[in-house]
Order: sequence, then C-alpha cells, then structure tokens
Amino acid sequence: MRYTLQRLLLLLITLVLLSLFTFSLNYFFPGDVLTNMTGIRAIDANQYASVALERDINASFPQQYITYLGHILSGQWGQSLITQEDVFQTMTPLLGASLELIVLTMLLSMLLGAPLGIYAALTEGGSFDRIITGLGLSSYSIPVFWLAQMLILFFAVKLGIAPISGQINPLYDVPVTSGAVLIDIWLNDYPYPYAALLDALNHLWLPIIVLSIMPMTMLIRITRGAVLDVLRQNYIRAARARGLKGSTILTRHVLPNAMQQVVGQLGLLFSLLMSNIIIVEVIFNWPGIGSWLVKSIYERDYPILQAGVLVFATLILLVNVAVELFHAWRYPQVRKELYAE
Amino acid sequence: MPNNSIYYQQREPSPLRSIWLLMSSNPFVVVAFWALSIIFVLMLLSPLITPYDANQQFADAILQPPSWHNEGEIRFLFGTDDLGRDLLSRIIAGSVYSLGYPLVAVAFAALIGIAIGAWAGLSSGMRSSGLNHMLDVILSIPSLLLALVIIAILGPSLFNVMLAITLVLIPQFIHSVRNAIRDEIHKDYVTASKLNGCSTWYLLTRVIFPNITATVVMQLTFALSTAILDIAALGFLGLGVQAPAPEWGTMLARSLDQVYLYPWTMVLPGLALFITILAINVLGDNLRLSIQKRVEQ
Repeated sequence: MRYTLQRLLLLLITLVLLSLFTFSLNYFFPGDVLTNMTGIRAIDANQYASVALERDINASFPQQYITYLGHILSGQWGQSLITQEDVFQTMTPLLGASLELIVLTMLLSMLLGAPLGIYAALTEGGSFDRIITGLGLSSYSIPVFWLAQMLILFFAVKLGIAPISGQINPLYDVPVTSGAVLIDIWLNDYPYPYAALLDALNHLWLPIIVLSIMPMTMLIRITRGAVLDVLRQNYIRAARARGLKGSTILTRHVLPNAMQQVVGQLGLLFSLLMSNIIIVEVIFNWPGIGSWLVKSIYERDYPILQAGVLVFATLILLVNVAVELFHAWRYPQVRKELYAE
Repeated sequence: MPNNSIYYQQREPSPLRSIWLLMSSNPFVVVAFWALSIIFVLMLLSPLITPYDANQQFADAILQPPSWHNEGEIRFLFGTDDLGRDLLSRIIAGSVYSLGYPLVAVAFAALIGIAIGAWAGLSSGMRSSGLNHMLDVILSIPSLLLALVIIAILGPSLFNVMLAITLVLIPQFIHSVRNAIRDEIHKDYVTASKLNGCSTWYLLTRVIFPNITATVVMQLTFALSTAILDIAALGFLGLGVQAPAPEWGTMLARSLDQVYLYPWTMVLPGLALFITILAINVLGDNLRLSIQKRVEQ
C-alpha cells in the first residue's frame, strides 16, 4: 500500500515535470511563444489577442504554467500551425491506431516469446536453444528501419502477398472513430465487414511482425534465463525429491517464479517498442502518433510536436508504473526487497 | 631475454584482464572483436583506401549492380547508386559518420557522465536519492524520442545531432557508474582504505575505479550501440546527418525510393550497420556474462 502511494506520487511528480518540460519547449522553439503554444499566428489579430488573454501570456511564468496545465487537462491543446485543425481531436484517432499496433505486438510477442523461452530453457544446450540464443542478439542488433525495408522487399515486392504500406485499402472508406481499424469496422456496422476486416488484417501483419521481432526475441532470452535460474533453486530439487511429476513441477513451481522476473522486464521492453514504433510508423505510412510526431518535426508544427511528445512520454510512464505496481502486487518478494532498501 | 624473475610469484590478473581471459574462450567474441577492429581500421584509413571520392558521380554507370551480379562491373565492387556514386567508397567513407561520430559522442558523454556518476555515488542522502528517481524517469523514455525533441529545438545538422546524442547518453552513464560505486563503497577493502586515511580522490581513482572498470566498459559498449543506432535512425528520418554525406542511415533513406528495383542500394549499407552493431553487442553481452561469472567465482 505504501509502495503504491509512493509510486503514484512519483508518477504525479513526473507528469508535472513532463508538462513543465513541454511548457518550456514553447520558449525553446524558435518563433513566437504564444504561436508555438496555441498554433494561432499574430496575423490573426483578434483571435491572437483573445488567446493571449486566455493564456495569461503577460503574467508571470508560474501563472502562465498553471493556465497551460489547465488547458492541457481540459483537452484544449491548441491548433495545428499547418492545417489549423484542433490538435486534441486529431490526436485521438491517431492514438487509437498506434495503440492497435502496440497492443497486438505485445500480445504476439508475449504469446510466442514466453512459451518459446520456456521450451529453450527446458532443452538447454539443444539445437533449438542454441539457435534462439544466437538469433536473440542479432535481432537486437538489426536496425528496425533496415529490417522493415528487407521484409517489405521480400513479402510485399518479391512475393506480393502483403501491401507495402497504409492501414487499409482506400476503397474501404471505414469511418474513423477510434482510429484502430479492427475496432472501427466492428463499431460502425460497415456494410462489408468481412472483406474490410480481411484487408485490414492483410495490412496489419507485416508491421506487427517487424515490431514484434525485437521484443519477442528479448522475451525469449529473458524467459529462458529466468526459468534456468529457477530450475537451479533448492526448492525445485526438493520438489523433485518429493517425487512430483515433471509437468507439475513446471506449472506449479517453476513458471510462477520465473514469470516474476519476466514481468519485471516488461516496462523496459515497452520503452524499446515505443522507440521502434516511431520509425516503423513512418516506413509503413501508418496513421499513428509516431509518424505524426516525425511529420510535425519536418513541418515545424510546434503545437503538434509538443502534443506528440506529451502523449508518447505519458504513455511510456503510465505503462512503466502500471507494470511496476502489478509486479509488486502480484509478487510479495519484490515488495519485501523494496522495503528492505 | 632470460627470465630474470627468480622467485615464484603468483600473479593475479587485473580485473579487466581476467574478464578478457574469460571472454576469449568464446569464439564468437573473438570474431566480433576482430570484425570490429577491422571496421575501426577501415574507418581510420577511409580517406586513403576508398577507390573513388564518396561524392564522385559516374554518369556512365548509374545504378550499376554489384560486381557478383551478371551485369556488374569489377570497377564498382558493390555497384553504384542512383547518382552513379560508388557504393563501396560511400560505405567505407560512411563509417566515419556512422562509427566515428558515435565514438566521439560516447567519449564526451562518458567523461561527463562518469564524473557526475562518481560524485553522486560518493554523496548520499536526499541529493543522491532525488537524482536517482529523476534518472529512473529519464531512462524509461527512449533515447530516440529525447534526441528527436532536441533536434526539433535546434534543427537538423551534424553538430546538433552529436549534441543531442551526447546529452541523451549522459544519464545512462550517471546511472550505471553511480550504482557500481554504491555497490563497492560498503565493501571491506574500501572501508580498510578509508581507515588507512586515504583521501576521497585516491579512494575513487585508485581503490574503487579499478574494480568497476568492467562495468564501465560494458556501459561504453551499450552506449556505443545506442549511439550508432540513434544516429542512423535520425539520418534515416532525414533529421540527422544531411545528404550528400555518406552516413549509412541517410543512404538507407535515400534508397527508399528505388529499393524495389535496385535492392543493393539498401541491403549493403544496412548490412554494414548490422555487422557493426552486432559485433559491439556480442562484445557487450559477453562482457556482462563474464562479469557475472567472475563475481560468482
């Protein structure tokens, strides 16, 4: 309980610091501070004056920051410098599209990575184990932009079994509500759900494979190491001595304890995934937060840029804290270590 | 020369040397070490050994396939790109941008980070734990995102990229050096030296530092592979080293338009990048394992 409060307090402080950082970005970016903040140019004199009043731009810095925080919390994130569209409203479907990729990638890598890791640990020294440990490091070293291009070249160009980029064939004009195509098709009662679903899946599988290769192989390595670690413990030997079946030892004694170490690493995996998703979204032309952020840097669209940074960093921090809390809640021995410090 | 040590003397290898002895039993590590050394030498000699200037264009040989291809020519070993520039020369010259500049960035980051980390490791209490919480937060945010923000403020150019990468790497060094010193400082040998009346400076440089060298070296390899990947990623996004500089990531970005017809313009620079990072990661990973083994011994 104390730990939960401590983590949540730290999260709150971090988020405040993060917003302070994005607030100060307005001053660091070249150009007018208010324009950077709201996306409204000084040419539009009336609106500029009203926004200046609304944002307390002439007040002291702390006052300005508090007003800024209020705007952020109430979803008034200004408008884009280029398209003049409301930043918050543009952001939500993009976040949905990114989350779709993230969730599916994490699911795939966990569903495949953990069992394969366990299998590798049980057959330690076998050919599968050696291949996995060898591949683990190489997949960690492949630059994701190169891997994406290689896979596109192979699957989309040579074999022609996947589209090169995009989220769905433009022929299917699925209305965008949540941003995640699979959910949108289901939500909006699209007239040809199965054809659209098939097409969306066809667009999805390649980016997901590109994204999941790195977390998956890392998960295999972590799981393998954790299982091997647990297998060496005395309580496993004791369980063997009691004459328990191999499968019982595995499911009742090895796995729960090994998973504790694996869960502890999930936050790190997520951070890695988030840095890859920026690049993969750009390559696959995926309408997500990552490609939005990069595009805003090209276009020097500062309101969008700070929104992108805010969303990205918040997402990473939230997931990290959630993983830590789950870890401490599920595994008392972790809590004990934390208190002992 | 005759052996003039008369007395039998048991020589303990230094921490770093004993780790190298452990590591070199693995053939992959030896291969990785030599591969990296060769790339490093190629980088140093790159102005001398490139067959052509990296930006020289051959109008008669545009998009020439590599020499092992049926239509390839031996004068362009790796073929040419869409402007008729020799790929082999560009890849060799690019190693300066893709390996040399990350090395410089890592060196600066290490200097600053180790100094701050040592200071934080020796001090204790509020100051230290506050710093630690801050570092945990900064480290959970991917380095690429931080670098992107810094580039967005400063604008893309070679110098700004170097600045961004250096700044991004510093927290990692602070974190690892601080933790390494924390682990050592309460051990008996440090206490003994303290009781002997050693100054803090002597304690740090002569007593603690030799024992955390391996950790620092490991952190250096990690930082180097991060720096190489990030500089290439920024180059790929067009926010890093600017064309026509033959940086590997920038070359990959340029090949994006023609990769489907002329794949070698993409495969070869990527392969160079991959081999370099793989060699560094193999070294770093085995270093970690060897440190563990040595601690267990």
